[in-house]
Amino acid sequence: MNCQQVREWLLEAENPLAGQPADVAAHSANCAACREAAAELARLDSLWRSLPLPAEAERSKQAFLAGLACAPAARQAPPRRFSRRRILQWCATSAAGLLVAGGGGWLVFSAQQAQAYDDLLDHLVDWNLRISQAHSQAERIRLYDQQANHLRAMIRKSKFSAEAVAVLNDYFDNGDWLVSHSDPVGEADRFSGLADRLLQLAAATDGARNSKRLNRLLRQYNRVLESGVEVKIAAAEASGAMDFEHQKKLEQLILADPQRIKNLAAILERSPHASRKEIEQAIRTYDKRKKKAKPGKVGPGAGKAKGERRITES
Amino acid sequence: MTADAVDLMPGEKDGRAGDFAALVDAHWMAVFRLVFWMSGNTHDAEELTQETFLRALQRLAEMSLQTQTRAWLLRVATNAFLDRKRKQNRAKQVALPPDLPGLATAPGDRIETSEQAELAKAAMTTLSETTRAVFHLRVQEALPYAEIAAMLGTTEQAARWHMHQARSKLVAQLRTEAG
Repeated sequence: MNCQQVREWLLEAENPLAGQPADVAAHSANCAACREAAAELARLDSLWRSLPLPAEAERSKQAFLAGLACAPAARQAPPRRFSRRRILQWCATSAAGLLVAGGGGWLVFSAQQAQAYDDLLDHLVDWNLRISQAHSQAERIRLYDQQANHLRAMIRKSKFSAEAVAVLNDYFDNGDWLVSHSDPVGEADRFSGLADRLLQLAAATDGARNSKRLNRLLRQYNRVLESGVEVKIAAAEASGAMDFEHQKKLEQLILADPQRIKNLAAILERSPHASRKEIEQAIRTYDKRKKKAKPGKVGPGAGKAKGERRITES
Repeated sequence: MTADAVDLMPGEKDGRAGDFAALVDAHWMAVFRLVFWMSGNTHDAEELTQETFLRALQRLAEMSLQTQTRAWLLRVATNAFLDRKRKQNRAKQVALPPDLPGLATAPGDRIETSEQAELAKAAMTTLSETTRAVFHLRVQEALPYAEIAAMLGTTEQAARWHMHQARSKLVAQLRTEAG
């Protein structure tokens, strides 16, 4: 073999220094230049193996693992909706700092999936709010029947993760509930839970890479907050017919506001450009709610509700 | 993603969730490394790595039959990259420009190693994605050419040719810059 042939062999070899055929080895034993060529290729391989990865490699791994860690806790939580919601809120908060494009853990989507998911979610939000704002129960039923089969089929056919589908199902189930109930406090409570789901999705979205998606989710969050929660709280207060259970429910709803504001602040800090306008609007809504929560109205220290006795000091 | 509906946590009853997390921990960096060098940018690498492990979740039964989990995952990653590339070509999307990430160097070897490594990375960006993939899978993962060829949908002979190309160009580049 000549040097040219040996070099050709080396350039294609699985390993330039090991497993050389007899004729290559024989030539290299007598040719310093070819030995150096083999060593040079081995150094190149070694250099390649030593190249570090960007910091995003480890960060993205931790975000994915954090999402995996959250999902079983949420699933194994007791079936009561409140506990499950709390756990998911915690997951959103703890994963919020670690997430990369597409979301964390169980909320990871490809770009195409994210679009399809958000479209369906928008559809469900609109449907819920329309039903909730209907003037009569008959109208609610009509609005429900218009879309229910189609939405149910879309959710069933979808190719999203089980946890992502669970969010869609929560919205669908709420539509179901609305046609068989007429309870402003119950609606406010349920819509509050649904808003929290949107907040969780927003917290899991990387605003730097997906500003449109983040903005879209926060816009929907504000819609649900204002048209689903605040409107219903106002209706409940205006009715003057809130019993003790209703009062407790609203107190619990409002008690979670500081955490919601904290979650919103975290999103704002991570993605100020994508989220400022919507988050400021949400915080204004919570401020208004806090100011309205005076003694005698809704919130801790609420005054005497229907059927409740208060012990006063004489 | 051509996924069927994914049950992300199929095994919470019997601890398979924990096994999957261990698998992610063990192989994430290898997958990331491959798709990073194939795509040339961190954004695509993050998405493709996540995509790979989501696809793995959908195919846990198939994965459990593999004797070489890492090689299987790298194959899934390669397919994810090729799927994305096909979609981008159809949509005429412009691929992100390559990153040239900063380099951590060891004290004492600082300048020489950094320069050579930067040169190697810069030279890599001049290679085709397939050539980069062949070089990386052979050098980093020590996969045989036959397996690399199967992953990339080519022949063993073509894989060897890509390796020839990669080594020739990288060595030439390093020699040129060294003067």
